[in-house]
Amino acid sequence: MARQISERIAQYFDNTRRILNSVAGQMQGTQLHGWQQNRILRNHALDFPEFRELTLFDSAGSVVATSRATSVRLSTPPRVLQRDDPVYIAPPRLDHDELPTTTIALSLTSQGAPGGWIVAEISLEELWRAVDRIRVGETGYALLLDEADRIIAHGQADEKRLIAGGATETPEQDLAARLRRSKEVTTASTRLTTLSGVDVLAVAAAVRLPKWTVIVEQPETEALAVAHRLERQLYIAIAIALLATVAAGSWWGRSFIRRIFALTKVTDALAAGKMDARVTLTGRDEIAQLGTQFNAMADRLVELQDEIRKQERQVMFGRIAAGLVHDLSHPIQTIGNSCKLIQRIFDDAEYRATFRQTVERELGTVKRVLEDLRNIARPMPLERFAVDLNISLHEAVETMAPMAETAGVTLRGEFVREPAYIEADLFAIGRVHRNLILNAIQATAPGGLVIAATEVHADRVVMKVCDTGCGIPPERLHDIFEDFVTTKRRGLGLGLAISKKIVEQLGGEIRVGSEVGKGTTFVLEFPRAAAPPIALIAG
Amino acid sequence: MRAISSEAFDTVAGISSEGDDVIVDLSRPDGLLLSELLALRIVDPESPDNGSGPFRIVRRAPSTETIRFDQYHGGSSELGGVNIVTYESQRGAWAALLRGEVDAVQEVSRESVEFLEASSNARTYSFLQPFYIPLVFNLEHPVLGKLEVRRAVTEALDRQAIVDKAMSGYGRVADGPVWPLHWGFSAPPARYPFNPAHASERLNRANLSLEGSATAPGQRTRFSFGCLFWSEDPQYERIALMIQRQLFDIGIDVHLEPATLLEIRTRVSVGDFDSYLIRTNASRALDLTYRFWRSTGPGGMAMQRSGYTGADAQLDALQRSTSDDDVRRAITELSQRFYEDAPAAFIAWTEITRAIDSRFVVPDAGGEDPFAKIWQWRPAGRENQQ
Repeated sequence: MARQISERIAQYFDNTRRILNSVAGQMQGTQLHGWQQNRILRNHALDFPEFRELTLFDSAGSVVATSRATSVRLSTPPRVLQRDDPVYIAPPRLDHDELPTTTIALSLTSQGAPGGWIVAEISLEELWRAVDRIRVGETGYALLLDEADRIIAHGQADEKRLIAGGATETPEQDLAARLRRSKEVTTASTRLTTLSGVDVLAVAAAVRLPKWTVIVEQPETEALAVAHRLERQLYIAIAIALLATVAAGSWWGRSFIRRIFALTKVTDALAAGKMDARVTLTGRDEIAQLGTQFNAMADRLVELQDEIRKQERQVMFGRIAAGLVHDLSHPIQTIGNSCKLIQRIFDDAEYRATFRQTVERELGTVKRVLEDLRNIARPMPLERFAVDLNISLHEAVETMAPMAETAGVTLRGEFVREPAYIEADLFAIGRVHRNLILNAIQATAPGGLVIAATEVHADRVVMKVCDTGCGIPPERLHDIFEDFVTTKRRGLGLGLAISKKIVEQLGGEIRVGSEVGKGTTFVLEFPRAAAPPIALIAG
Repeated sequence: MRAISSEAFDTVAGISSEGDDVIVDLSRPDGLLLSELLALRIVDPESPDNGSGPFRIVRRAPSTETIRFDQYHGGSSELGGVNIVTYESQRGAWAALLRGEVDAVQEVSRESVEFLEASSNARTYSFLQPFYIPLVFNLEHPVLGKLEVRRAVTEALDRQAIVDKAMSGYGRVADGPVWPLHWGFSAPPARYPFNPAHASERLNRANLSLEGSATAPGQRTRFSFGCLFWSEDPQYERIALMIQRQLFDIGIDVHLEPATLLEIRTRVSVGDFDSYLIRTNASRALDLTYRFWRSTGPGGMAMQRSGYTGADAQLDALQRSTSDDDVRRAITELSQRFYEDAPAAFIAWTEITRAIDSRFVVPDAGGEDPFAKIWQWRPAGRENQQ
């Protein structure tokens, strides 16, 4: 744009030169009278406001004609320049009003010889109007500086005082001087602050003719407005994009996590045993597929669980049946055999007594088996009395001693000296003793040791049955107290289940520790009870 | 009083006083007396430079310096004083305003007004003045003394173009010497439009045909005459050049003669002129219109000296008006008379532009001259931005 404006300035002077050429053409080689030449010059001065005065000089420098009705103010160009320049634009000087003025002179020829000059004084005000018409955007303007970098015209109304005042050392003059020094470039730009304190972008361009400088200035607020607006728009766009990305990511993330949480929740529900828990995940992505697969897995799990239960039931029932067959077949067989035999020797009184004993004994065994089954199904009625565990355990040891001796196992009791009273059912606790001791004897190889011991603490009584038997594998320990679980080849596997039930009904707890190949220890803990009151028998 | 004008106050028969009242006895009604009395100043004989104005003169050279007069009846000004600096040209004064050497310019050159109007450093006040520019003819000239010639000259002048080009539009075409903003003025009954063809016909009827010109060899002209013009104001040179060109178009050759104001007065006073171009004060109350155009005997006002007597009766009627209707009627008849028998080609009323630095707050002038209330100006409180 600075180049375009410099070209406009050059054209302004080109136009004035064309007008002078036109005037010269009307006057050269003609036989016009002086008054006619005056009229031509006056008409041009009246019709072209660019000129304040037009004067025709002869080759001697005398005035031939002028547009002035008063005295002529102009003169011919310096002689040293007359030979070479057909057009001479004088360096601006201050007129009598101390305003810059300049003249443009056109040399004339007459039949090949110098024919004088036509000189025009440029109207400063008209030049100012031409510069004022140069606008850049809304607030941009132009300045014109001469060869000496003096400001000749200024497009800002308030800054024309710089021209009248002959301002020097303005930043624009520095820019013009810089352009002038750099002969290779035709424009120079910079950001500067005017004397009025306005920050502007300034571009200087050399004018073709005269060799002046035009500077185009535009306040930064406007010059960079588009860039600033684009920058703002870019920032806004980036911010919107970021927000949109964050929002989209947040939404998608929340959507993703929500569904993961849903999946996790259902997994937890399944783990807690709510086998009917299923997850509903919408969408068509991998998460939704995972949900569908999860539900399928849960359905299969339920199926498998049902199958396992069914199998376990079958196993359990099988074992129960086997146990019942085992436990009942012998007594029933014995009774059957005895019944067959009694038919033959029914008149043998001794045999009849034997028969009665055998039947009663075997029926007792059947009854016990059936009673065990019943006790597993429902709580056993227990009567609580203060029972010294030392005594009940000692009795169990003595009862089981013959069996231990037969098995080649040493059975030993280790009891505390002080009474170890607990609230217990004597019969039930005795059954527990016998069951534990029996298991220990059966698990111990000949030569092994089974110890039944008691301990008394401040608020509890502890009973232990330790053996040096084969031990129980760790994977069997966790369900050893379950119904119908046994390590034996025969039996219903209700012994430890009934023992645990009895212990817990009495407010105690039972636990087991075992090591394969070394032995097993059953520990029973009961709340300690107070000693029963001593009954005084009168008599 | 008569020292101001030998013809003014000629109706005053005597002056006396009673207490604080001044009594003026008149020989006959004089409707223009009050405005003429405005030209008088009440002065102290021992201090003739100072009257009862808001400022008093303390020095006259190299520039006129005044200081505030605190006892002014209208109140003490906030200005400490007013200094008046004279420049060779209006342009020079305007340049001084740009440089900040002066705070106000009495009259801004026409071609510079627009630059000041666009600036925020100064405010401009433009208003129509009761000054007009006539091309006054010497009626003793053998050709210009003819009524048809004078009418032809008026018709040949494109006065609007003169206002637009030579006055940069700051003016209004004048159809006579009567101030158009006077309360008693109504639109002139008739006026001469720009019509060079009709002007040529008039000249033909006046037996002024185109012939070879002695003053313009090679050109056919009807006649020629000289025109004194005020050379100290460039505007008048341009007006004169335009008049010369326009009249030349109908075959009238005008020789332009630049002259200072003093030279014009001198030559007019002895009748050494064909015509002259100068700014003339009509005055708002028409008293100067009366004084300028009323024919006088020897010793009268020098400026007019055209020998014109055609409007004496109407001017006297204006002076002797004793009512508003009389004034209106007299003005209408006067306008009509100047149309019928114009002693001059009335070019234009001038619009003047004053410029005042924005550092001063100027009371609203209501479209009138802000300088009339200069004593009411006050600093705006803003630093001078140099």
